[in-house]
Amino acid sequence: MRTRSAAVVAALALASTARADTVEVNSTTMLMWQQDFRLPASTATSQQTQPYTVAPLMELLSVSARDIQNPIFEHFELEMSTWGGVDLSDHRWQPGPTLTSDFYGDLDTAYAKGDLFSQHLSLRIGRQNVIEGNSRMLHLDGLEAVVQLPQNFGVSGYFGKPVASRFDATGTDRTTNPTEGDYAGGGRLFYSVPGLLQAGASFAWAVDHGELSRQDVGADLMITPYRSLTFNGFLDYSLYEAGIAEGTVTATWQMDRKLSFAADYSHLEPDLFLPRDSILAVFSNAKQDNVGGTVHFAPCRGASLDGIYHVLLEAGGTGHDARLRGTLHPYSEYTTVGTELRYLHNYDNGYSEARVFGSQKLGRANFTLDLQGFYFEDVVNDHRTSLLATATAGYDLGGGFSAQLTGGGGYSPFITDQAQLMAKLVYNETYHFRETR
Amino acid sequence: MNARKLALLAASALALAGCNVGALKNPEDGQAKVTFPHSRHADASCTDCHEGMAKQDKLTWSQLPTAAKCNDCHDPAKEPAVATAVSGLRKPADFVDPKITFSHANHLPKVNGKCDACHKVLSNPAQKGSTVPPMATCTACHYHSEEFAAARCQPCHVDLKSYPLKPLSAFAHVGNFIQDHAQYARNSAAACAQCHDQTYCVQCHAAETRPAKPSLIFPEKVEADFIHRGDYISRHQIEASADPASCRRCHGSGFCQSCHQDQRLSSGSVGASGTRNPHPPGWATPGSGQFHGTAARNNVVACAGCHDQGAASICVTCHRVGGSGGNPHPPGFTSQHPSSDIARTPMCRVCHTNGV
Repeated sequence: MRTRSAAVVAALALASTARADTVEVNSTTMLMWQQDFRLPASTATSQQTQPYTVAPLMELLSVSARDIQNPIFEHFELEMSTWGGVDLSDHRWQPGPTLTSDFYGDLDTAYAKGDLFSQHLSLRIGRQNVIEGNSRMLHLDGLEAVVQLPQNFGVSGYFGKPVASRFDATGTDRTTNPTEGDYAGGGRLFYSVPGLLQAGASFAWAVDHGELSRQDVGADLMITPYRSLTFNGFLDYSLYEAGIAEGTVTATWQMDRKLSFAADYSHLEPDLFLPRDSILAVFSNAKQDNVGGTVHFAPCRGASLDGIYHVLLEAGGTGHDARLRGTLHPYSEYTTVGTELRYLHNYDNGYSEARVFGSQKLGRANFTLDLQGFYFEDVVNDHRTSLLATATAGYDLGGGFSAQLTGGGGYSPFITDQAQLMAKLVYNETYHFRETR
Repeated sequence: MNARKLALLAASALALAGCNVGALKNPEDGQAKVTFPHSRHADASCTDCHEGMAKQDKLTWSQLPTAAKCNDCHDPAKEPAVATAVSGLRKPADFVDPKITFSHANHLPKVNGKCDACHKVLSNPAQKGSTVPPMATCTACHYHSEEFAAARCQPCHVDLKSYPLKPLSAFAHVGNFIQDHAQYARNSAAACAQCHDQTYCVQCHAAETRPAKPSLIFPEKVEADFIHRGDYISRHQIEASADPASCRRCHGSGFCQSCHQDQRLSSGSVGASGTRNPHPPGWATPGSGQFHGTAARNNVVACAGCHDQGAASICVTCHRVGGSGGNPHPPGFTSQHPSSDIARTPMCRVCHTNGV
């Protein structure tokens, strides 16, 4: 019933896009074949994982209809992203309880948004992500409103139910949402001095089975004293635990298009990211501090180098996270080669990574190659290395259609001699019915 | 060769190779279009060729002068070289119309008809780089900082979502942007929304509903900085230990548990047959160096990957009042949670069954 209702709503939404100025459609049809691994289904004493073959056929669809002509709202838009699939072989793994049906699907986002009173009030209703303030990118079925007040002040508020897989084929209310709960709400009061600063104070609240699972206040600040220099700060404070869940400070200096630097410090209390009604919320008060920075260097058009380093100061010891990434377009922007090196050392394990990737566009055809290898400091499932290679070949069929074949294989601690294949048909087109100039 | 030398070598190789390629060439330009030499026509006024521009209230390449205009001065019969060049000139169809709301008719009177007030650089065969006036040209006269701060790009930019421009100064997506973009989005979500609607965001930020990770759906996007690319299963425990809060921003306990139960690392019910014990020896022995209490204090989020079942959690078996596990609360806990919390908090009463 729920699936049917969702389908009717989706159909109505699609029908109304006929009066939109711009309609963007993206459809991806994928047939995958890959190996999964798990223990045998029975609770026998075997401790050896076995490879399973999964072959899902999936359709992912997203539709954006913007500037829909209507007598009430300005900039009225409808956004929807959904998907469905069928298992042609063993059931694939997906978050939540183990799949029991061959058919599945869900709704990633589906909302209507519009402005009123010369953009002084913006409303968004439906399945959406709440981005502002200390909402932690909350995936919500609900309503968000933003009001622009005089003197560059504004206020936003949201309320709804954290997203669970309630529209999927099995119609369950299972959730893997980090914000669990019956209801969640919050808001942000913000102020801006154009070109200089943006500041906000926010509040986030969630209730799970009648118990408070989150009650935080937050503050954010972005100052741009010079066009090339930006300071960012954010603080999230748990009222329930009277502790700082997260505090970050970042300074970014973009000298020019060739060179930029950033330095950052963050303080985290990971247990404050657990719902307060979790039984584990009472066990720990671990703190973590990360200090580091990044440098971006693009000596010329077509070449860039990014270096990132952070020292991780944790309760269990000190860690290091370093990355170096270089990208080069030798000859033209249609040719890309890149490399990535990473070293992550933590108090209980770590790894070194080397990755090489490349892509080449030849007329309507395009090809990519991706090689990725890891060496683990301590064994993972009795192994120290992981090697994977992925190659794709695509062709632009015209009319918004493109086709792609992907093949991959390699060796990892959990699956030796693994392989993966995928055939993909993509339709990506934007229809402009009216453009304002 | 150690890692430092390797990194230096890679950086040097990139710098040398990347900077020797010169100007980027478009392989689709095999027909070698001719660039109009403005410098050879300095004696003519702009409107000699670009006639009618003063009345144009839209910006389209169809306003380019046609080859017939060249013939006003050049006789193809007497100047065959010019005729050949003219035939190779780029035509309006070779360009994509700029998605900018702009009226020459409104602007030319304000600069006294001086085109070079905005057009500082004109196309010439030797000219490398763009000749289109940059946005700074507009903002030199139009004080748009308020619109910029409020992310009101329309009506100047027409539908940035369909025709996104790569941000070069503010919000340049370089360096550690994939990790850092949250701090821009928190107070500038409206700016993000100028180019990205939420159908874009949920490709990564809908872990509750999305069928697969982005790197699996988009393997062709090799340049994208997907954080779960490749064999993430083998390294997820290391990443989670290095930054536990990072995982919890997107994934609740149910996400971890569904896979761990599938792998029978977590049975969901204590002692079920066939459950694999992922813990090291000494896990239940205080002072062993691998004692679970120390591990939980350091990273309780890792425990939540299997043991976050509320009253059914294995922790409650020992850590209840009167149980063998003793007091699990960290120092300072009671200062934040007085005993009066027990009466009004059902979670407390899971262990404090007698209300104290």
